[in-house]
Amino acid sequence: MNPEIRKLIAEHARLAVDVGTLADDASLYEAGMTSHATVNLMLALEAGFDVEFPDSMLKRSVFESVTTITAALAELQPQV
Amino acid sequence: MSELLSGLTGPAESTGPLESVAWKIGVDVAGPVADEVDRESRFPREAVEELKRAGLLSALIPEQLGGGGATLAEVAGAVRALASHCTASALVLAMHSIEVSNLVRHGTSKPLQELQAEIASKQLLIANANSEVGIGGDVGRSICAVEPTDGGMTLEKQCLAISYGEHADAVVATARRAPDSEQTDQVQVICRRPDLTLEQTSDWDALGLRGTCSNGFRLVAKVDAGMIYPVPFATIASNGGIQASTILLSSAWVGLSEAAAAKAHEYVRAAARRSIGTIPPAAGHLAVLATELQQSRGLLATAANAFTAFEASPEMESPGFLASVRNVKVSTSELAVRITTGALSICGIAGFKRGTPFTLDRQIRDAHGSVVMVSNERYLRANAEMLLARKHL
Repeated sequence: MNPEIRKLIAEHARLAVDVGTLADDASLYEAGMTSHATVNLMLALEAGFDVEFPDSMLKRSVFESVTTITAALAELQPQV
Repeated sequence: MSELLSGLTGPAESTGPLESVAWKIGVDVAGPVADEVDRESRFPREAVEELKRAGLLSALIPEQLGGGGATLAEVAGAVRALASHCTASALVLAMHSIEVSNLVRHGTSKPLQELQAEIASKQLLIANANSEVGIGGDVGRSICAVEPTDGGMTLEKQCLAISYGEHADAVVATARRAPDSEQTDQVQVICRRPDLTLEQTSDWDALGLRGTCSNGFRLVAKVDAGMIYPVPFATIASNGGIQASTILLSSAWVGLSEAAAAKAHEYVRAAARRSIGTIPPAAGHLAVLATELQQSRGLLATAANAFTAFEASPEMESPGFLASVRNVKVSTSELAVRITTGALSICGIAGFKRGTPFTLDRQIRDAHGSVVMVSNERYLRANAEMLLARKHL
């Protein structure tokens, strides 16, 4: 899951740095991800993993890092 | 004019004693000089002195720190009551209270607790310098940064506007955490006199809301590490900050609408007394105005009570509540424009002229400010973005 998440981050989060240089738990916001980019990333994650983030998961903390996104996706598709 | 209003719109649905105190300040102090404050575009110093005397600047601070321990709904009631007499005075209370609300929610460190106690004991006035030249009103990004200097830290910021900045004891500003931080990696810093200098860079000669004195400034401050919030700015904003600011601003727009509606009401009643037995034509327009005023009041009351209910709940940050408070600000400000211009069509030439008890000059101009002072376009864009992600309206 991790490489796919990182690929979507690279395409949509519009970070100021290469996502490859970030640790899994590094803050994407501190790396320059705006709220607009967060929405785009979420849409890409929904399409890429065929999931829907319920409103209760649309929180800043859920999209904070590769780790938190991985945890959220695992919650949404328990079979993976 | 204040007499007219005091007879008519003593708070309809009282939110408590703070509202009555603010109403009295409006009648006795803020209202009588409101036209002068507007004409000269000057700080409503008399009203702010009275707010201090009444302890309203620390109403939201917990009692154990010397404050009033009030809820946001109660302070919203005070803002609304004051706005019926002078929108500028009400906005000073509203904008200050936004900062105090954030401090109460997120100022958990010892220095920030001590600051709350000091705000209460000295009735310090806090202003905000989040907007920045080059970024505009998008407060989620900063160009300026907290810079380390010999033995300390400094902040230099080109501020688009700092409302009543010259009169504030402290100014709250967003900035990048450090010189190498990204624009979205922001902290919020409280800059205090005497370690703060404001050099005015632009004038506030505006269509309305003239007494807020929202001049542009170059802010230079020595930053005390204890005066940096212990959480990122994004947390302050999404966890109570946006909610408190939209609700308190909306309170001003509702109070302003009530003042205009009260004049229209008085005008219609006077007409009715002259032609007992017939319903004056303007009464029908007043009935429409009353439906709009009810919408505006209802939107505010629901949001203010929800804020109090969610104070310690994760619901505060839910996308649904965030979207709804933005909607409340957009709606109450648009309704303020409709209600004030609707009142003009009822009062006719008596509303159009200055110097009559029914003049709507200031209210109409202020109401147009409500639409752009924190731009509705920005709130709608934020909600539009959120709707792409949300699954429910």
